[in-house]
Amino acid sequence: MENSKDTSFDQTAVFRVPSTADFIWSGWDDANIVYDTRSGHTQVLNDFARELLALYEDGPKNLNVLFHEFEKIIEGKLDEQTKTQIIDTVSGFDAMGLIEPL
Amino acid sequence: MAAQSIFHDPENLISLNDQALDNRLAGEGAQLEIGPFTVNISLKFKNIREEFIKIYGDYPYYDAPVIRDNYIKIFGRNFFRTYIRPQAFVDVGMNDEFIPLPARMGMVSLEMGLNWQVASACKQYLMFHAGVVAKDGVGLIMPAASGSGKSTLAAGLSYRGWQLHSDEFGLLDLETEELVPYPRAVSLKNQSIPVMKDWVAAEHDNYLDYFTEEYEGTPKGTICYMRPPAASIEKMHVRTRPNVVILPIFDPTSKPQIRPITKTMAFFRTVMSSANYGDIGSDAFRAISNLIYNSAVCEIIYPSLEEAVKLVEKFVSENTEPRDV
Amino acid sequence: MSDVITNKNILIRVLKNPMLMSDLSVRDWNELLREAKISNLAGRLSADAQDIGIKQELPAKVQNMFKSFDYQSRSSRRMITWEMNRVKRALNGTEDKVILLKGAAYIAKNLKCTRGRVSVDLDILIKKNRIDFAEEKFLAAGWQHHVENDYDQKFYREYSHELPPLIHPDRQISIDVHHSILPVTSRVYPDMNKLIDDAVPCIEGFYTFSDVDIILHSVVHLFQDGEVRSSLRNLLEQHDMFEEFGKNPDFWQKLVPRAIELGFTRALYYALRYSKMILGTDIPDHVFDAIKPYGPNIVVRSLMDWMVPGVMSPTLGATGLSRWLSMNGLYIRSHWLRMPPPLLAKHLSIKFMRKIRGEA
Repeated sequence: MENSKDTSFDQTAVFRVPSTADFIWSGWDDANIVYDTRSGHTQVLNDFARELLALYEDGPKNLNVLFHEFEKIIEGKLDEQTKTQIIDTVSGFDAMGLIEPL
Repeated sequence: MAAQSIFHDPENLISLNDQALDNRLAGEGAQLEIGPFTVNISLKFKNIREEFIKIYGDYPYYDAPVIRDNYIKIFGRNFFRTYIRPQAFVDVGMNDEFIPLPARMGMVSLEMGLNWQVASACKQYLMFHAGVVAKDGVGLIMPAASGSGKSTLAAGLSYRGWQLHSDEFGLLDLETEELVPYPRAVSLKNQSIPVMKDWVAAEHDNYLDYFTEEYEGTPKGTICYMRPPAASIEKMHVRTRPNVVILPIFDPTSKPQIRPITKTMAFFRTVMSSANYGDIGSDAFRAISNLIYNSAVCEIIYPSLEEAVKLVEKFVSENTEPRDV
Repeated sequence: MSDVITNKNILIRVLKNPMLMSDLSVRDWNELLREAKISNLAGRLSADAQDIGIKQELPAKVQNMFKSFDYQSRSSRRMITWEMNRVKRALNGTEDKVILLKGAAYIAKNLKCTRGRVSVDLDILIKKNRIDFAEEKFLAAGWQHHVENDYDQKFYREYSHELPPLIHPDRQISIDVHHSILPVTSRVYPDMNKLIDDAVPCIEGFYTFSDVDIILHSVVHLFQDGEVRSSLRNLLEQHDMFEEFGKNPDFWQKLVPRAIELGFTRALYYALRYSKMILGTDIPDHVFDAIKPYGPNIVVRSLMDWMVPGVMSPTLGATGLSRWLSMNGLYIRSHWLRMPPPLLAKHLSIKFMRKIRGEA
């Protein structure tokens, strides 16, 4: 599992799941496990992270759009803490190569 | 579930008496079959041959030449290094240079050479650094780090009615998803040596015949090798589907207990124990997912081998259906 | 020399004619597999068998082993390709030409020589004045230097043609960031701008040298840069590329003039000579005629004819003492070409001293 060491995550950039990406999923009640056939790496995602990645799988978007769509799912406003958590998770996706800047 | 290895050729297999085996080892080499692998072994030191025969004397050997997975040759570089201050060089044909050990540690060189070959070259089977045993259709994997006592536990179970697949190289066939036995000599370290000697002595009067000498001062402390039980050697081509994963933790101060773990935890511990998961890639991911999906999983904490065997048997009997084999 | 030697060698025979695998004795298989493993060509045998459609007819044991080699080469290709992806991400949006070298270039161009190939490093080249920028980006993205020894770091930065190797802790691939294809201290030092100017885009985010330059780089690396040990694999790559690029007649027209322009004629002479001699490469006569004047004198040539096969593969040429002499003879020779003598002495002796103290 990779950690983001690059703190300069660009919040305005549009990210997407690469068209060449091919994820294989497995997992049990407590977690989603994904094998990324391009990197050969295996990652574990909780339901929160899984939902975020699914939003990127739907199409490319920047952070604002992501926040907006997430708010629709939870039917409420995101607080600052959750927003930070989303940014951390997305920046983690980028470091793992699950998503890439457009 | 008894799949035969596809290249296993019973017609060409023989047993060799000690003298005949010694001659082959000293000459062109003896073609030893262990589970799915055949290795040509030549040993240029008499003391190493003696120890080897004690452990591997009852294994099957190919008579006529066969295509072999590996070869290993242990030799002295010259007269001085063979007879006066003997030093065992190891050639495994893989561009790797081993640090030569004193010839008195002969079996250590051999077993390390075999380990290295399997660990670095085997990608056709998914490999777990784990103790693996089977009984009555139950395939049990015990992934663990060195020092958890998995070797001792696998060996202990094998002398209480279980079939020893391996004390540290579990193999899984990626197509059939069966465990493939690879019953090499069991490698015992330090405190586990007297434990296993007592354990085998309880069943066999001639228990000392099952052990090599104790090699002191190796890079891993004192090492002793033990022969797997005859039944495990006979069944080296009998495969079993895995259906139990137990993570063993040895703690001499604890009371014996079985602790539940999540399947996700079992999945990652099994992945982490695999030396070639990364190379095999998506096939390995699918195989381990299926394996964990089909397995009962837990962690056991045990203060002694006796208690560990009880915990394993208890967990297995409560979580698997008895099967005819 | 060579006909006798190479026809005796089972690996060479099979590489030249993979169909031989459909009818080999047990003894030949054992010899072939042993040699292929030593030369890092086991995966190649499997790929060849696959290509000519004889894999299913091979002995079950061989098929089982080939499965292992296949996983290994696929894994290596996946790791290199992924590392390229990570490099692209780290240098996101850079205007610089990022040029893939060696194995990475072969993979990006999907050359024949990548079938069954195992490589462990990723080599890229960037203009010298942009190399600090690249290093900064890599360090920021989590790569680390894995040469910590001060002498080695200093050696890389002062005399080498690349940054000290970088490795990302999450992955096992080492990346070598070059600004030249030869050390700056080499006696034969090419004008890198010529190579960089001719580089062409390949996959998104990356360039490779032109076909002629790709092969000249490989050639100069093998015959001039001290990498001759157990290098049958590299010669085979050149053989493959001569045949693959050579389908385009333009390639043969450009090859020798370009070698003259870059100063790589001697290395090219050896590559053409030994590729044809050992692997039977189909090379037009006019190319040999053009390179001939750049060959060595007869004494050196005989010496090379004697040394090269032994160095290419442990069982091809001489054994024992003469093998040691041939290996070390070539080693010293190519180092001598690479660095002016005083530097060479310093580097060798420091390496030697570290070895004596058991540090190397």
